[in-house]
Amino acid sequence: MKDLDITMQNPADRRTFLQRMTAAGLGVSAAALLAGCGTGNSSSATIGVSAAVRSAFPGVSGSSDNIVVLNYALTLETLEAYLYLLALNAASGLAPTTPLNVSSSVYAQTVSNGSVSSSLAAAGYLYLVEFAYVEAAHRDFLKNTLGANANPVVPSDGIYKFATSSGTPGSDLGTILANVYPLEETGTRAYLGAVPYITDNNTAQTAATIYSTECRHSAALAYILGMDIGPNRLIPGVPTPEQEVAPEIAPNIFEKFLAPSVVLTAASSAYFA
Amino acid sequence: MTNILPAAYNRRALMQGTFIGAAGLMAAGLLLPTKASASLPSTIPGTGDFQVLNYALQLEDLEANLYAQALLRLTTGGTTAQTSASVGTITGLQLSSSQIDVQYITEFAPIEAAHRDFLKAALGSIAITTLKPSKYNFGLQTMTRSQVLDLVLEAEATGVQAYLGAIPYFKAKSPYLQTAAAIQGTEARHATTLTLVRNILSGMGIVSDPIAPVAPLRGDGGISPGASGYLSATPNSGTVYGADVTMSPDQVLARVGGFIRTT
Repeated sequence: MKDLDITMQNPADRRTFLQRMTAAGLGVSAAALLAGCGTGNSSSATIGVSAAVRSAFPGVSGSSDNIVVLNYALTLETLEAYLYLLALNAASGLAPTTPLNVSSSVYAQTVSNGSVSSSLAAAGYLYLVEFAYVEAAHRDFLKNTLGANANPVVPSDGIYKFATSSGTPGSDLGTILANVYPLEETGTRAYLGAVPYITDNNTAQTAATIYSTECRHSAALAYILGMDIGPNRLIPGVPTPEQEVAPEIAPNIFEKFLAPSVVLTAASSAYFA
Repeated sequence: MTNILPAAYNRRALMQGTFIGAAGLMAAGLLLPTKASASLPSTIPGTGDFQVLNYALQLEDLEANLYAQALLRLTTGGTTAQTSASVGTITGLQLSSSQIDVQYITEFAPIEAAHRDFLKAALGSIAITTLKPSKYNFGLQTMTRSQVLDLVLEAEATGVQAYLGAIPYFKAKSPYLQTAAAIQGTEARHATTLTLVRNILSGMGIVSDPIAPVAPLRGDGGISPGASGYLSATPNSGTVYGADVTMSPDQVLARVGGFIRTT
């Protein structure tokens, strides 16, 4: 704690610093994490999981805090990869269940552009292809890394749907991209909200490389859709951040974050068939 | 507006795994105990988390000043805080504010300044004391429109990787990591948007740069369709495909050091 001593020399600095640098609620979870390592439990699924993580990630299994957090990430990446594939198939005139092709070059847009301008449609479709592969790669990476510990929360029948009345992504490029966009935004907020529960910096760093990729995807899709590239506070189809770094300043200064329980409830309600 | 996606990019970019290498090195440590990290360069003041935040503050200050000077070059020109006459005045390229590069650089400039001001205020008396606009010389006064955009984009892209590369220097479970990541994500949005802008200007023949991916790609190599639609991507290789990569503080400071005047 030596570095903290520096701020102790100046109470005003320390107060300002802690007020500004720790978002509301974060201090509580961080303190709980410190207290909760390594205690045994009667259930083999929760041995070594802190009380803070057990309560923050309802329904997500794992034998350590990090494994719970990574299974949470795998839950979201599995959902994203599945829905991206549905979206890509819809935009390419393929049956919904068509697996991702070994070669990305087979894909070609068959639907109309919808609301996407003709000058941006080719880019929008390309991003749909690229991001579908990348989200599948994120899922596979987490799955492979977790190995036997991989246990994402999935729909009981394994089927996902879009949060539309028909459950399908739409029949033109603009509608399809607009229905994919909330997935990316939810993903960015979910990763950032999970950061305080990760117990080591190697895992945090790897998670962050995926997180900022989701931020990029979100910005690219927003651009194609003619929307603000973000971050924003209020986005239809995305849970509103219940807390953020500095709510008093402009919304585009900091990324937003969501509690894992909020994300899990929203995701299963909106996207589990 | 012309199509911003030459056919060559469609195929070539998806085949490339250009972002994979460094990520693989980094991801190998996932789920292993945290290894002891080397120190940040001693030129960054503070210790522990506060030294990491001062490192971030140095980069945000550089970015904020770069944006301010880039806008002068792209638009009306003006006087920078440089004291030397040779670099003190920037002649403007007189571009309209409706041009998309000017538009987004204008939009992002106050965000970078806000990041700088936030870190500076939060660190208070611990903050790095050598920050002043007169310290930055980016050579913008002779740059073309294309070069200006490239430099701003490179700064944002470096910022994305620099924050990632700084994570090991935080204490484990640092309460400041989430805030740093909340800034880093916006840098990623900026880098993506400026890449998209550059691609559009390239498609219009306004800048000469080739079309580039807006986000890390997944390489096609090693993909085979799995039974359930899963891709069996190099099992247990410890490599995350399609993710941002890290840059060490030494690499970052070597890259940006030339812009910071020591006198």
